[in-house]
Amino acid sequence: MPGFGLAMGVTLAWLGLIVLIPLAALLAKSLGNGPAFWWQTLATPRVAAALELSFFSALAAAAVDMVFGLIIAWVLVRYRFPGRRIVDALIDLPFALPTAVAGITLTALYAGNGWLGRYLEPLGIQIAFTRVGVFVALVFVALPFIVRTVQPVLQDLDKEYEEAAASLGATRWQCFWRVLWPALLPALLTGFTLALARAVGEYGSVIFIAGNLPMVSEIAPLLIAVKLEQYDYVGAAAIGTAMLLISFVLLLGLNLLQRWLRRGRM
Amino acid sequence: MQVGIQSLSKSFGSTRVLSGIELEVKEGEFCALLGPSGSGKTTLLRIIAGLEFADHGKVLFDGVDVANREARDRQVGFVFQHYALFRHMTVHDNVAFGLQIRSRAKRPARAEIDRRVGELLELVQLAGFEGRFPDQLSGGQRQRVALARALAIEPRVLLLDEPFGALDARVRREMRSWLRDLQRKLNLTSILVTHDQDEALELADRVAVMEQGQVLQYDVPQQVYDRPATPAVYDFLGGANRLAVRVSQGRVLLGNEVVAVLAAADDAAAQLHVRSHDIQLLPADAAAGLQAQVLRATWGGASTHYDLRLAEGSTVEVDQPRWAQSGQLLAAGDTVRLRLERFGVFGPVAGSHHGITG
Repeated sequence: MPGFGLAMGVTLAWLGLIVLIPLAALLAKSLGNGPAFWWQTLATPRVAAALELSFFSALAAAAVDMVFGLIIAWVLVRYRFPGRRIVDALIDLPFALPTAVAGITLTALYAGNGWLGRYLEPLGIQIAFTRVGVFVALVFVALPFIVRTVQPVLQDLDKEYEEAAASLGATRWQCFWRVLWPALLPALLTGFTLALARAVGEYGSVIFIAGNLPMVSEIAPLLIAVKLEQYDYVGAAAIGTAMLLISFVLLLGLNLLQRWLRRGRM
Repeated sequence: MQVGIQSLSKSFGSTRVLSGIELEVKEGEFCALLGPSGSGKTTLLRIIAGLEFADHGKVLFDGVDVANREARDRQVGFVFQHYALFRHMTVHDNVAFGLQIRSRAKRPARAEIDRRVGELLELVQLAGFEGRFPDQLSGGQRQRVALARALAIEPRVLLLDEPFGALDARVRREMRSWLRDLQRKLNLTSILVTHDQDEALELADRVAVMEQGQVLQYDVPQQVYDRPATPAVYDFLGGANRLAVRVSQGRVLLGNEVVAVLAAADDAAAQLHVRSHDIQLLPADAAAGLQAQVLRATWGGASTHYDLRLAEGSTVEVDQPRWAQSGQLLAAGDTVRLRLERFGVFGPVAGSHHGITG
């Protein structure tokens, strides 16, 4: 292969510079006071609660976005309606909006006197300054990842497949469940992975709406910022490595699942 | 099963794609819908399958109108141009699909499904490919899997939409004769859509030539080829020259020369159609024949292609088979005489006449 040596050299050098060296520095820093200290930091109830909140709400947000993202992508690809292009452009807004703006906007909406909050609060549903608020913010920022990964696959998925299934006697439901769903699943999983990764690391939009009550609505990235403000660099790095490890295991698992789903395909 | 189409028409928006279609395909017959793209042939096939619905008209399966039935209730085998195999399923699961989705009461037992899939793959010469995925197969193999999948539901009629379009020329010829034999063996009523005249003429028992949403001629291949019903059919069925002629007292006149003699005796302007390989080149000193001058000669292996100009001014294309070539090839500027072996004459009064110069 011509150019392999050069291209591979650039790849490795760049990856090393941009990804591996910072990660190694993080790891070294987190173990600065020894493995025992690392574990002690993580084992405190406050850190454990933050990690749990971060990962569970990210998983939940990515899962919910998977359902609604699929429906939105379906509507955008399969139907022609006035304003479709505008809707299509709207999808990218959560990508482009500074996360702090998103956070402040969501908070204003869901607070007790906000447009939505004032109707929800009397019903006993409180969203701002709770765990639900964290979830709502993550759903907002992660949505484009699902829509944008599923859309092209759906576009390539010719109507012929559905017609083939119908001519073989399949009902609409069988058509979806046996033909479309398996064809879309790899793309959906990719979208889910991206959405999850984004949601786990999300900071700006969450901190405004979450209220950041320790043990209740405090996410792990915020806790890192708190530790930094207290000059506890090693503690901050410890939480960082923990997030890194959990993320790595999740992403690796999702990747293996992908590979299994794509078996036999080129 | 017998398929009947009665006064069927269909529009997409304001574009009329089919109008007044009448067609009848007999039990076990192989029918080809032949026409250029945009002639409505694929739409007609999709309407028979239930993938599209007509605005008016009847689709009869053994005399029963199924025009309002959905595709899944029609029990038709449809083979798509690009196969539409389910990529995430193995060959086995693709073929078994139509059986596996049946309701519990109608679904054969698992062992029975496996047996049927095995039989079908044997039939399409793909035994042992059960575990492969579509992406691991060649075009011809995918085509045969698509066929096996369509046959698995024991269709009442087999519909094929340009089934060989995506295959290379050699595989296409092989598949053609293979499909022909298979259709005969199964005695399954089949309808094929194609724009390839050789394919239609070789495969079908009867050919429906379509253009602009209408069936121009529906007959056995020999008739369609030898006695095209309209100029358009002549045009579509292979390399015809068109010459403006005059029919007078049974003689066909090109300029002042008599090209041919017909049984009918009208006096009118007409069009003469003659295929490039139905013209014989004679030496310039031959006793009879139209005088012509060679404009260009293109050697092409099996035959040599000539562009010629007739004495009265119009140009004619001739393909001379290799066996008829003696000595040196003709070159630009040489003069020859032409004898029209087979031709058709179409005139406003005359109707259509077909002649063989004897």
